[in-house]
Amino acid sequence: MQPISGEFGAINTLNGLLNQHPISSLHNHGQLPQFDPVDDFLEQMLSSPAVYPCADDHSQQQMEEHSTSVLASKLRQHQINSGAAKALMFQRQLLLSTGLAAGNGAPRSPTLSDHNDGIDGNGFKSIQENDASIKALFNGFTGSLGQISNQSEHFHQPQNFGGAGIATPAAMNEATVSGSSGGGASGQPRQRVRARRGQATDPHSIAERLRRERIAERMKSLQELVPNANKTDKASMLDEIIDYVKFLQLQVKVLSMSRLGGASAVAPLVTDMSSETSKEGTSMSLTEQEVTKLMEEDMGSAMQYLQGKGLCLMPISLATAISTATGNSLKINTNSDAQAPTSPTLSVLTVQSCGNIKGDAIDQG
Amino acid sequence: MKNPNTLKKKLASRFLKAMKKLKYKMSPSPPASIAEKKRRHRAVRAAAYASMASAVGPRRAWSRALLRKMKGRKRARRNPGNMNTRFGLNHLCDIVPGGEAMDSCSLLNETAHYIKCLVAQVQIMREILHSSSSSSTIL
Repeated sequence: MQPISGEFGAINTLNGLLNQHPISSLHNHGQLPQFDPVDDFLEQMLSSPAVYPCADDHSQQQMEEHSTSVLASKLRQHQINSGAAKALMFQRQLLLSTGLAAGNGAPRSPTLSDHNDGIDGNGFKSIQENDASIKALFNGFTGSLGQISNQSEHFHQPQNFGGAGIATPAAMNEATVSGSSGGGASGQPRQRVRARRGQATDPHSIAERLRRERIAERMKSLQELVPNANKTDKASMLDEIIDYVKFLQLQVKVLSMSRLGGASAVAPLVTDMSSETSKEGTSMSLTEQEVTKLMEEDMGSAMQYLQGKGLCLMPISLATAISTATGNSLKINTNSDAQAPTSPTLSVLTVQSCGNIKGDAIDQG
Repeated sequence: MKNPNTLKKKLASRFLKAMKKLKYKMSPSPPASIAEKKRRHRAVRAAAYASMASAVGPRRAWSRALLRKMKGRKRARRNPGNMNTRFGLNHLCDIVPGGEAMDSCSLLNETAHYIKCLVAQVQIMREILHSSSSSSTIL
């Protein structure tokens, strides 16, 4: 096997290889010895553009996937840089490496049968489809960029069939490769963009597209944070976000108002000055109303309000038990109608200090 | 990005420390007038935002803006080619602290993080409130 001296030399040897070993031979994954000469040559070819940092513990399959992705990325890079012959070479490498992966998949790891079957089927498909394209390229090898870009598009589609696993590392590797080599017209790390790379040289439009994609990404992540995010319209989504942020800020405000340690701090939120001062008979109804109002929004604030007046909540059963136990004249107000929204078993018991229940005279606070 | 549990712990500790400071500053007995109460409310709210900003640190643009506001320095109004008028981000840059001096892309980023921190802060305040109120009902 002659080493790869020039691109033309490589292509000629490849051509010879392809004519000697027809593609159908690759289908027979049982016949390993047939692969050996192809193997050596391919290993040579694959080792030359070895960019990927292959650790030793990587499985062979992974290495080949990496190599295909790296080769795919390099292929695109070279297409962009209008290296026609190099592009062809990399195309060959990609094809043969996928063929190699397909061929070597089955005999090597019988446990991963499903994975291999997928690769086999797809690899064979791609090889069959690209056989014609390769022959056409060989015949019409003039090195025109348009032709190659056409072929590259045709090539990409079967490649995309050939495994999502290859696509994602390809996208990631593309970013690194393009970053390292400072790729010419396309700085996009996206595989889905189908624009003719040779012609999309307008940097403004590409930058615009990048920017829009980034914004779309951020909007998606925001959508997950904000509840009620089923709006597809960007404007309404923005409105939703703004409302949500305002709502959160309002929550902080309300919580800071009710958060203060003193219970009477809650009062000015809901009541007027008159009900704060302790009164006789009528104050009870006012207090009850305020308590119910507060209980509807937040139990904590309601409890604090009661505490500020020296009151607390207890179930009716306990109140009656205390009253019968102590035998003192207690005034127990059961406000079933006032407590209706919450529960009929609660009542408001007036105690002067929460600690004294046992035997002392409990007056109305 | 940020693990929610660690964020919550940070926020909680800072907020509680700030509240303790506040307690010593303010009058311990419940203030009588409404104006004093309003002052206390505002102080608590400011403590909440300050603790949030200091817990996040200068890593985020909004926290930097908040800290600047707390320290009383002038707002750093630098508009690098203001593209906010697009996509209707006018209102958002008014709400998120430090929103004017950002471009649309990073504004959305900051908003996402700001929302996360706000949610955590609200949760903490609620939990503190509930725990204090529930403990006090023990007779």
